[in-house]
Amino acid sequence: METVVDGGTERTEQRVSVPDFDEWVAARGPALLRLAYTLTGGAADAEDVVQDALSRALPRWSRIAGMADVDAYVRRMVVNAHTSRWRRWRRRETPVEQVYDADTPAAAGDGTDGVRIEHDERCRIWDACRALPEAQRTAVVLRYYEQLEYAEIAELTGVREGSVRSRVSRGLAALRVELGEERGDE
Amino acid sequence: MSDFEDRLGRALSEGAEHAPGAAGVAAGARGLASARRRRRLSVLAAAAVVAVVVPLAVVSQLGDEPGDTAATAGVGWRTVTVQREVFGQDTSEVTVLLDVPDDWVELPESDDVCGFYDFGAPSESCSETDVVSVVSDAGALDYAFGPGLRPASDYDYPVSAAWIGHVGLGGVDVSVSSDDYQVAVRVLGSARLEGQEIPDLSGEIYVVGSDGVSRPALPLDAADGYGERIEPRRTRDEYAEAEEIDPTHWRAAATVGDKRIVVVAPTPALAELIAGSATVQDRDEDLDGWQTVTYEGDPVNESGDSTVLIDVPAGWEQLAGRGCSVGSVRYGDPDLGCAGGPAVRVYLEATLDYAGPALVEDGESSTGLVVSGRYVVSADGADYQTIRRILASVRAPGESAPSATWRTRDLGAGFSMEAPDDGSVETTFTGVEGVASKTVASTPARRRGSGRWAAEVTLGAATNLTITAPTQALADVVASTVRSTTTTTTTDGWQSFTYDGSDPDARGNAVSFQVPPDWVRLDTDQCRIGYPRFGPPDSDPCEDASALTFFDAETYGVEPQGFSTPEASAGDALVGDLVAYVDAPDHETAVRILDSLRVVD
Repeated sequence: METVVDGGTERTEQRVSVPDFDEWVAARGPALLRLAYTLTGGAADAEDVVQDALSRALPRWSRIAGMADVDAYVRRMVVNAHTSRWRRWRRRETPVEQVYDADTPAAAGDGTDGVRIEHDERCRIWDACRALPEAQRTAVVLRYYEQLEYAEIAELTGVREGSVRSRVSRGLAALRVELGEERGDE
Repeated sequence: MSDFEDRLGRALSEGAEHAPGAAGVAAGARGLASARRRRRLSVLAAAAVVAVVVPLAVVSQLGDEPGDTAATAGVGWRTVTVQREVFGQDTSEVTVLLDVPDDWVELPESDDVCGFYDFGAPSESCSETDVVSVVSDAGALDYAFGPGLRPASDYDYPVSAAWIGHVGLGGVDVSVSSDDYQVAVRVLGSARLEGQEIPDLSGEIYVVGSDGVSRPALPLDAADGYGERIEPRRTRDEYAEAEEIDPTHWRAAATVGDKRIVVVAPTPALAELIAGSATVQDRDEDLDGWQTVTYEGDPVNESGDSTVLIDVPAGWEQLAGRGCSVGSVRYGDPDLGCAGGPAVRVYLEATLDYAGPALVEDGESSTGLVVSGRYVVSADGADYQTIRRILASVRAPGESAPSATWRTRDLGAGFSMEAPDDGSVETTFTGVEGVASKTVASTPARRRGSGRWAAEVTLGAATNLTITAPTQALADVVASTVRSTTTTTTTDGWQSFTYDGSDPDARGNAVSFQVPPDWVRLDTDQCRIGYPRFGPPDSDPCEDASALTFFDAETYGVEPQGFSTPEASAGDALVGDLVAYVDAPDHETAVRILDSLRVVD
């Protein structure tokens, strides 16, 4: 069900269909959680980040829901919530050797088939991504998980496109070194 | 995409399949939003809690007995009483008197939210509109603001009525909500403890504005030592919490933008109501085809505290859709959309490489940017006066927009400055006398202990100009208008001017020239397009008559051709990046002016 509100002025008499918050979260929440999961690397952290972003969206939902691209806006909130959270906690948390939760990709089994990449390799890539500096990891995730263009990432993260390219490039270079990949495979 | 990049993408996608489900996320977000709001509100509430108190049932209504209806209640109203037990006060129980509409009833105790209210309009179901409560456990309340009466639009979340407010009576609070301003203000204004006197509130209560502050015009008799005054704000924010001067005189002071209101009233409720309800006087009536838009903060960040107000031409709206950036909020003409046209953009400062404020005069393509709080506001694509007015109006809630009428001030020593004509901007000079060069350099405004903002401008080598203004944006915009207009006199009385090009991007070069003895730089602030113009003092500054005018060569439209006829008194010439067009009383004057033009390196 959608709540229909009169979103226009007397001049336009435009009626805008505004999605209900709960229904929108039910539909789009899983994608947000997947994004947050790839950004944070942990299930609990992903839930925290998404809840934090949505809790800030909730009081202004009627305004946000009227935007042309609600998904893009809330996705940006999730990315920023992740960034804010990382900055808030980085001084308190001491980096430790990676210990996987039971539900992380590294520990979870799956039915590997010919299309899916090998479980061990996926775990290694996941680990290496998680070890990237936050800004590089965010850029890499948005580029290779969300499949966004550089310009879109620049707008979403609020940095120049050149900086995004640099972050992605340096992130890839670090991943190659970490994973023992040789350049020139393209 | 390389094989490695492809594997990277697949690894991330497959890994993401292990993300947690969305069940409960919406509910969790609601809880988090609620907790955040309570946390924020408790900061305000905590300051008001002075005693630990316990609620006690409503015990009587004077209005039930005709002889007890107070004279102040008047037709259609009655006075009711509520008793509350308190601790930490001289007395363990207080009796609160309130005037309420005649048809309001005592509300029954209940487990739902309406059990919180004591009296209200008759309603078959629980209603949070047209209700009043007397609360002794003030620390448990969700106050979004300090004492006073606020419109629903002040809240950044849905509220139940058009007007919501509360006042304190020393240990107990009275909280009201109503769609009727008269009802809300009357109920709060009548709140008093037994033995306290209030003035006659039966007349209609208007909102009045003076000295830049609007507040409810409740009757206070100056002869009895009551009244209010407006004065400059203090450094620290003040909330309208009443303090006792003597049993019949209570004082409350509140910050209202760059001002402060101090109220002395016979009851703490009246003092808090007037001071706490005061707002910056709405200038909308004076906006002359303009409107104020409010950007209420980005929910990505901490809260709605970071609101910025901007005056823009009437009809502009927040734009969204094709071509609109998600990295900024854009206001503009909805018919043009984000594809083009004049626009105001609001960015988070943290997301920009902000290099400082600027105001660039460039005909219909003038541009500039300022900062307010955590936001950078840019404006572009309109004439200079429009851009200047937009940027100078950028302000935080509670701050005032400057006058829309600006004047060019002669600073002496060959410099001029533009400022609003309302006296809000002050200047002071320091440093040695004399200016060795025409250079102008400014540093962004900083807040001073007085609460005003100060921008420093260096003129020449050793003269410093301090510009103070009530807002950061205004100080920076005025600082950006400081220009060199060096003038000397030739042996035959003609004047030698230096026009600096007025373009911080250095696209417009400086030009020196000579003009007749009585010519001055004309004030083009009121022109639709304010091209720099020099002419007789009585010349129309907005028309090409008897004046020397400078245009950007790129936008002049035609190649300068000198004089169209041998005797013409009007002609033009290219001088660096500028075109000088002169319309003089005679051909000889025009020739001398054009021949005197020199690019200044």
